[in-house]
Amino acid sequence: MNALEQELKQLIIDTLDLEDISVDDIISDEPLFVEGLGLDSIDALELGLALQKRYGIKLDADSEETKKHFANVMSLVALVTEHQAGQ
Amino acid sequence: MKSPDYFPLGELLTRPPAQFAQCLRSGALQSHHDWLLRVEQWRQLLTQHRHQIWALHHSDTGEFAAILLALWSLGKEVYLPGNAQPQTLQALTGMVDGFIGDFDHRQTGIQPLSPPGSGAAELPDQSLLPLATNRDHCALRIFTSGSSGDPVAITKSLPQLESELNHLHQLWGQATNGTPLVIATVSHQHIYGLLFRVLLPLCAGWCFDANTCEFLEQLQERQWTQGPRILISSPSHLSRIPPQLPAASSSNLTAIFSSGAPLSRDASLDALQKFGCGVNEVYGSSETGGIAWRQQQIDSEPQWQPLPGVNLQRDTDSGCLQVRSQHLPDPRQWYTTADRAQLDSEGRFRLQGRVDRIAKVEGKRLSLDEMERQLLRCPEIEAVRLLVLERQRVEIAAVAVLSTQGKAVLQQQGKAGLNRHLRQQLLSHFELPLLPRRWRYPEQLPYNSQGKLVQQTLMEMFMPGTGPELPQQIRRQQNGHQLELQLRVPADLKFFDGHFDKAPILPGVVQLHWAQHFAQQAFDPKGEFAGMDALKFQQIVVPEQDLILQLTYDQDKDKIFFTYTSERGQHASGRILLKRQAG
Repeated sequence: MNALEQELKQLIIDTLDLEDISVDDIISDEPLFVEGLGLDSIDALELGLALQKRYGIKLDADSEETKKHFANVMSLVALVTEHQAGQ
Repeated sequence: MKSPDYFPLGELLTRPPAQFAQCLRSGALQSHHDWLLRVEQWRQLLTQHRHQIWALHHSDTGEFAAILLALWSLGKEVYLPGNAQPQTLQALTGMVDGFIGDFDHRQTGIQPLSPPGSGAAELPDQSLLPLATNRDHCALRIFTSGSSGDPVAITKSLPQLESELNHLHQLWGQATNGTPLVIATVSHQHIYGLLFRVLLPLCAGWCFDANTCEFLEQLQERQWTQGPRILISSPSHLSRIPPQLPAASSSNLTAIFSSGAPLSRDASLDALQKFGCGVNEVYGSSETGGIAWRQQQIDSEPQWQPLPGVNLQRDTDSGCLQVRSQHLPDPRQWYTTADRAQLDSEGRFRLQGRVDRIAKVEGKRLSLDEMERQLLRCPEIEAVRLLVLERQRVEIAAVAVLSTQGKAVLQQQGKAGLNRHLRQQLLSHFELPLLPRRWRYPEQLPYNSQGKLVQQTLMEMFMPGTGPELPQQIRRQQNGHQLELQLRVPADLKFFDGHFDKAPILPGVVQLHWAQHFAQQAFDPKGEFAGMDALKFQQIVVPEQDLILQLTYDQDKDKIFFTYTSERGQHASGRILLKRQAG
């Protein structure tokens, strides 16, 4: 697991106040929402806020794009990496 | 362009076809004329069906509105499910004659009526007719959790809805200068969204956005050049406004509405600062319709004040708010809500919490009784109590006593695995944000000596780091410097952290800590604990396991020997070293 992956998993746990879940329990290519980790629409809003606060990432106005970025930890890693490279 | 006139709901379809924009869909505007044509297409299709009662769900608000008005114009009865989850729809199958809308057949097993083509029909020469507005005719049924836990169908007649819309328009219809675009983060399948994002715009001749705005970031692209914008939202979104919204998000935003739950003062003022306009909060329920409104100000925290046409009083016995209005089925009767309130002489009030076991989670109503009933159907659970926690968000927490089967799942899959399994069981009955996010699995529910479950005791189980730290003592036998304890390792032990891909095991350091703890308690040994040696961990210890802990205190050698055994053999052993104080 690379450092960013680890960091994002920890961010998910802390931001969403998840219980009984550790970084090791979040599988990077497993869906974050509904299935898999079972996150909901409120979690999506919270996560969007956290990404903006931590990395300065503004979500796309296109909700389909946002959904793709939020699919799993790997897609979040890609989003953050792309954003950092663009700076 | 002159703003369209206001048409009461009953006369909505008598508005002459016009070119003003009625609906915005992915950047394209649909004129009132074209929307009306769509109503007519649905109408013609529906006249071929004798079915009277239809369940309607459509994620496109323009299409939804066209179907709804087509159904009403034919005197049909419309059932509005709050969501399109299979279980919700299943419950409707016996009650309705047909389904209409965008149901996914593969997921729900429900085959909706095929939509009409978009070309054929033309608008009849004469204007469409007024709707039959009869107070005894049920035009709409919506579903919500009743106090007993069972879903309750709430019926609305067109005059009821019409009267409420008139009052909303009276209060807010002139608030915007020009014809607004109505954007919403809430669903029109619920009464608040139905009134504010569909029916009020239709009556007032405003344009509404056909797509729900899922993130506030999307506000920047839902623009329109003709005039101001209105946002229909809820505390879920308004209490989570991104810190750096692009300026385009708030441009031309002239009114914001929030309903579903009270908006915190901080969130309300944050919205005021970021969007440049205050939030009108609407208080009401599916049963009562709108009751009151308020707008938080920087320098004052106003009370709720009744909407036009609403009379209020306080029930002296229960302290609950009572409502009498044209928005209710019987405008002469007082309706008692489950909300306690403090009322002043001018009819303004403060809310003081509910009297029943209905929780509001992110604006969604949940019957705790109903969810407990569903959990008790799971073979893993013997007894359960749910409560509401206010942490980062309002959430449901569960205290559950597990059956043998439940304990087995816990042992195999760990706590996180069991949590996930139980949430999965609930998912077919409840929406995701309502599911418990925190679980405790004690041996029994913490009834007090009077046989009551005290809320505070349950809440304390969810304070940080509060799982038990010690095992349960089943049997204790002490003979001088020899102690034998039969212990059971509780499943909700604080030290079993979640690892749902592997079974939880008891950390070795905890076993050492327990040995010290019981040694101190039993022998009150001379000297301080100074270390350990000869440690061996032969076998893992898992939740719900029974263990024998044997402790022998050798006072001469300043050592305490311990062994953990079970029917599977030895688990761990070692020596605790003691150091006497000098002198």
